[in-house]
Amino acid sequence: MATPAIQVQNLTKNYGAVLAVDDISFEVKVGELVGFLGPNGAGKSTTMRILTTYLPASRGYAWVAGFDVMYQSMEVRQRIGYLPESVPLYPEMRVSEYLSYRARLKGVERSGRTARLDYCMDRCRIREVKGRLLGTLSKGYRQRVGLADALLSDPPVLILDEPTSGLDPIQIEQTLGTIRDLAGKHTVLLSTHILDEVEHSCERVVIINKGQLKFDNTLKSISDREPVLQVEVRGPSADVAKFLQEQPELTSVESRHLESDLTSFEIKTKDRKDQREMLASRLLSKGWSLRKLDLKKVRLFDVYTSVVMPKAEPAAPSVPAPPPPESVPAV
Amino acid sequence: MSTTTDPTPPSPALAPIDLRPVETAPSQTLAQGPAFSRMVGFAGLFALVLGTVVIVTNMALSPRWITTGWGYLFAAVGIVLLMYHAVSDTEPEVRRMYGLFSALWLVLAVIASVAPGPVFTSGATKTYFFNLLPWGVGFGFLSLLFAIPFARQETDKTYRSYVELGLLGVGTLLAAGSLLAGLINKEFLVGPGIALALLGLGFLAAYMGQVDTSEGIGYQVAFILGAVGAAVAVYALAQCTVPTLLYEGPNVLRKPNGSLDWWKVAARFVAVLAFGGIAAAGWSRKAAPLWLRSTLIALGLAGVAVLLVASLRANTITTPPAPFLVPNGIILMGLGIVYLAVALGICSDNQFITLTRRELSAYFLSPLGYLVLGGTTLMQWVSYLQFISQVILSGGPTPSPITEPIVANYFFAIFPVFALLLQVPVITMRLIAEEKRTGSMEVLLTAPVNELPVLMSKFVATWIFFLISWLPAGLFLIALRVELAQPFDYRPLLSFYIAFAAQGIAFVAIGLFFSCITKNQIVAAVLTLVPMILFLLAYFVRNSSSGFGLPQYMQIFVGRFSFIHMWSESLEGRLPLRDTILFASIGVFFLFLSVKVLETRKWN
Repeated sequence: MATPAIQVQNLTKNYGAVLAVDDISFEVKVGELVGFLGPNGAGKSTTMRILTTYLPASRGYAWVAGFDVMYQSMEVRQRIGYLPESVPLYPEMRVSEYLSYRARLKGVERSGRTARLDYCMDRCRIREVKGRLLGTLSKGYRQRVGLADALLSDPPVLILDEPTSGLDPIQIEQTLGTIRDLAGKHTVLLSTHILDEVEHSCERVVIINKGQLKFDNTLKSISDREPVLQVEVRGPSADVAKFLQEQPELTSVESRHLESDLTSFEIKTKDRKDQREMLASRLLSKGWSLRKLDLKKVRLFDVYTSVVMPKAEPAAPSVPAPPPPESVPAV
Repeated sequence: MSTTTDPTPPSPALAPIDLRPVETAPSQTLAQGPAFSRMVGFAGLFALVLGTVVIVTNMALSPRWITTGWGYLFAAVGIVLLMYHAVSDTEPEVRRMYGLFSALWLVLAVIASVAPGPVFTSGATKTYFFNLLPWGVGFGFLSLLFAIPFARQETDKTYRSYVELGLLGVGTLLAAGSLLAGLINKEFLVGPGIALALLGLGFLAAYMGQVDTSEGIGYQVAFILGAVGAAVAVYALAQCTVPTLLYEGPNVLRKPNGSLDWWKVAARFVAVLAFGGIAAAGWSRKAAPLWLRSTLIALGLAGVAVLLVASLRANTITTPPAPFLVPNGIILMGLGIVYLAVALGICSDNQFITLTRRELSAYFLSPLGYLVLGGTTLMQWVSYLQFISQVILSGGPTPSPITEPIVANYFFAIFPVFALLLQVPVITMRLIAEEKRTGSMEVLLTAPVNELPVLMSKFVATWIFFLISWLPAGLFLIALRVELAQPFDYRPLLSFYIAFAAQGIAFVAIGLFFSCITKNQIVAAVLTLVPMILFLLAYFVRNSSSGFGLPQYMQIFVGRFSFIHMWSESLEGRLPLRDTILFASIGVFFLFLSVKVLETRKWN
């Protein structure tokens, strides 16, 4: 099995008393495009800073392109391209000057340097602002300059921290398109908290919350999960429930009371077949009316909410109020 | 004419939005109407013509109602306004007119340099090259000034190639010519030599700014420039040291009573080993390019050979060697190093040099550098005025001659100290603190670069800027020399600048350290000010009779750190070597601390 591009093992990081990253482990194979999801403050940026060797971990290991981030930091940095969240640029330099300085710093070969710079500028569509001061650029252009900077040395691993934050919808689509094109030849780990982007571009998703890894699987595994039939029937609730449970094609039925004669059911079918039409005809033939019939597929949003917002704890059985002290009849 | 930047509204039909790139940003930059800049240009032309007429009539005929000084002022203002117009006009025809203007200045420069004698004094003997300084060089500088905006904006291929060729040709001619002439004719260097060499460098730098210096002819020009500079510097160094070494022979290694002085023999042995080490380094580094390796090997072997011959064979040279170091040696070495530095900055791929170049340019790309330069120049001008008034006073009603060196009290005034105390925190406070605050430290340290090149580049760039900002003090003395029309001993200035450079190492390193430990620039500035004031207090401790109640040994110890005493000592002509090394080692210590502070993030 080939060395994974990124390998994280039991990584922990605490800033003094604050535990930012709590024992996470995951792997990114070569050429994959992985989305790193999580709410704000989950530990995404900290993990990325550890992977780019900027911060040391408190415990655990991390390898990028086969090199340890702590002990072989120089080799790691020669093989990554990093775009931090606040794209920090020197406001007094021009775009072309800045990119040429970064190319020299990263050791891009002199003989093809100008061609490489032109290629990166074309790829990120910043050719037309080549001569502008960095301090005068809008957020979208700054992000693109940062992305071009990350691409300069053609690194095998790209680590992008919220590359589309602050962009308008068209720019988001274009940037994601550029990133999608990069995957395959490069390994991309991109962090975001916009689920749409992850659903459109990434193959795998890693969800992290409060420093802990909660989910690490492909998007396909989510869409492969069993879909659920949602039915709302107007009729006597017990009879409808009993009727549904008798149907041989259905494996499980859960009911929820909505109104006096309106019940909502969540039904799972045998062999995952789409039994909507069969169910509709049978229910209607019994004389009950159907308010809603929906096949709900599991979406990333559902997985995310289930991970990030755990179900509310069942209410503790209320302690009956103590009986009022019996009044002692005056003797 | 304004263009709208609103995106085209979606068509009412329900076709899906075509997401192919329709660039709606950046906003169109409205070209300012040409009227304003042309008015400015005309005003500049008028002022220039007026100034020229005033100067010429004042020189040719007796002084008129408007004096020469006003003429220079008008001409200078006129040139500034014309430059503004040259840079801001958008019509290519106007731009090309300025190209012709630049060529006109070049022709004037050649004529002024070559034409014989003082032009307006009849009866004086006419010599050629009389007006080379200042008129020839001055016109040449103006030609360079107007050539740059013309070259930048020229889009036509043929014109552009003409301009680039012109810049390259003139630059090469001036640089190579002045260096050769300086090597042949010793008198040429001081004065016209430096000016022409620097002007040639200016033309070459302008040329290299227009072409791509990563590959092709731009790179070759930069490379040759650096090679020539290095060769000249090495030649000057050799010319200073080798004849003396060979003349002294092995006798220098003996004590007066004839026996071998083992300390000197050991020192000579170490020197031989050092040159041998250079040769070995050139031999062993297989990865370095061939020219570098062969140069290092040749240098090392030559050094070893010279030292061995000087140590073993007497009477290699029998005539005492002529003094070369001052001034020709220093000028040649300085020019060579400047050429080499410019070439390295342009075409070297070394990380340290790339970082230094970026840091140095950052001072001049924002107002900070110009403000600091202006402020320190102003302070130095004020202290120069004080010095001049002393000199004038001593020649007044009751002449009391000042003993040489007259520059002994040049820096002994409140203003330079004041300026130094304020300048160092201001230029060093932003070095690391700003990068930490904006987050660019993250981007810098996740590139494949170690902390040491990062810190050294910031240090070297700030140190160079610091030294440049204190250069006007020396330049003002040139004006004094011209006005006095009689020579005075300027050599104490050399030892002064060496001592000052060592103090600069300490001050900048302390400022860099305090910038490393905090994110807030103001805190860094205040923390830097404290050691600077302590250094100043050392002067008072040393000078006071009571010593602030400190015991005697403490007084002496604290007094060693007084930089003002170092100034007066070096301006009297003695280079205080011990104090120089003390300040330099303080600087090295604080640099070491800064590197360690940056490295703590790795284990914190």
